[in-house]
Amino acid sequence: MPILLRDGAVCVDTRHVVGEDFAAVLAAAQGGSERAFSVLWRDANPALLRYLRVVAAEHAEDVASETWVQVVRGLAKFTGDEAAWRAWLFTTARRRLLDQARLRRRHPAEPLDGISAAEMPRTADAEQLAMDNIATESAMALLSRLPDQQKEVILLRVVAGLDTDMVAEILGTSTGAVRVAAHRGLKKLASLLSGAGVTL
Amino acid sequence: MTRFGVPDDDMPDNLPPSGWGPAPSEERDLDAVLAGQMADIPIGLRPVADVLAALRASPAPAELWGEANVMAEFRAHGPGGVAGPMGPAPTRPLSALPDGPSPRRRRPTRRRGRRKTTRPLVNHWAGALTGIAAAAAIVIVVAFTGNLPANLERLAHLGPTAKPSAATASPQHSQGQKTETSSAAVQPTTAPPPTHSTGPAGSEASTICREYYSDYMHPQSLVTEKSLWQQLTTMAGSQSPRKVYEYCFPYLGGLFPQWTPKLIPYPAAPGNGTANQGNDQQGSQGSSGAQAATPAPQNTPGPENTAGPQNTPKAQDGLQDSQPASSNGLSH
Repeated sequence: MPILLRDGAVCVDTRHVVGEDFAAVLAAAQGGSERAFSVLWRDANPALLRYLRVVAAEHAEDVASETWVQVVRGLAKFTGDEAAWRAWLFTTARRRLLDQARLRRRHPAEPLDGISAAEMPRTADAEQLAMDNIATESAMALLSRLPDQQKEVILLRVVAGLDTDMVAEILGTSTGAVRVAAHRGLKKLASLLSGAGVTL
Repeated sequence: MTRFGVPDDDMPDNLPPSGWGPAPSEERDLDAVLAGQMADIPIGLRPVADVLAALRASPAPAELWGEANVMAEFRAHGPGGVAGPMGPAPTRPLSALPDGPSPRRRRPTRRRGRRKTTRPLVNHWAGALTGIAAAAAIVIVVAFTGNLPANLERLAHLGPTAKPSAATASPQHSQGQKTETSSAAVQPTTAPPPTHSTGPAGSEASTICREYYSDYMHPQSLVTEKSLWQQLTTMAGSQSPRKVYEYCFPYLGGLFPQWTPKLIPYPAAPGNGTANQGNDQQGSQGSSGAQAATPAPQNTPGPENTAGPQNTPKAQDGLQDSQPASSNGLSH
């Protein structure tokens, strides 16, 4: 079930949906428009959460919140197109992820209780969404079995929609290494699917 | 080493075996899977493509829950300013959220900021206009009456920057020989200085002086005070409160129980004793020149006046503008 973002714009997947209007949306958000920032957030947050749930399953929401706090405070200084915006967002998320991991090593803490079922928003077609979620959750669970670099590369390429150069820049490696990691990850994924009989 | 002097395993001159890395065609297929192109994908990669499609599936509602928190952060710490042209508000597909603008959409922070910037400006301008109006009213009153209102005049006497109270006090009543000679040497008098008479005129001056300063210290009637002040200025030959006080100084003894009249000398600049006199000379000509050129009738030197002390040496006139209020001897 697609999620409506704005009039005439439908988010069919987690990749870029703002499109040609991105410059205007970004300028409005930088000018203080909550509606524009809402568009940016709705565009990028699902991909961000999926990336974080695979890379750091238990602390994905915390890291995502810290990432958006950082983004909000640096939004006025950001310049670039939609791809650069996503690259900045995921770079920020990755840094917050490393900070969180460092902090958890020093100060292990108990997580707070999750949101109860009564507090969860309901949708018109909950069954379809549940099926979609199951497929997505299964895919994320499968992806989490890959080595760290391979799953991170695939997530950034597929979920975030970044090209090889940007992924290489985020991970601090070469484009060749990114391509090799992606291909190896896909082949490993294929072997996992064929060998274990995983169905989505 | 078998040939060319190079080991066989170093820099082979043949193509790598097919098992090394993905074949070029397979690499293209993998790139197509990564790019989400489902057409022309080998059957073996279909499950992988399905997994990647599930990864990029449409967002679940749970992935859009944190919007309120992020918006609150945006309101609190986001970039301020006026929102750009963005058209209608974003559609809210979740049934749990109310339709239309919610109370969260308010921007109290920005409104508060605007008030902070505008209110002080309004108050500032209102205060400035009030002050200007008051000053204009005072100027008009002074222009019509020729004198300050009594209350303002009293304030002028006591105020720290008031001109009349900035009179100089040099020891003219206890003047020594040195002072008299210096003042005499400095000024060629164009007008006779006001002197004290010891006759009926002196008793009249004493009465007026005591009445005026008594009324000054304990105000009762503005009309009386104004009348007395006009008489005193005529007798003293100057409208300067300092000169009037100096004129009345000999008669003020015992006027109030716990107050002794005194003249506080103006402190001379260190090492510049004659400079004061020069300034005095200029001040005498500048500040009271018109009044000094037309001596008052009461101050006409008579036989008894010549015997009296010269109470207002001209050398002291010029220092009146810079003397603190308390120096006129009427400090409370």
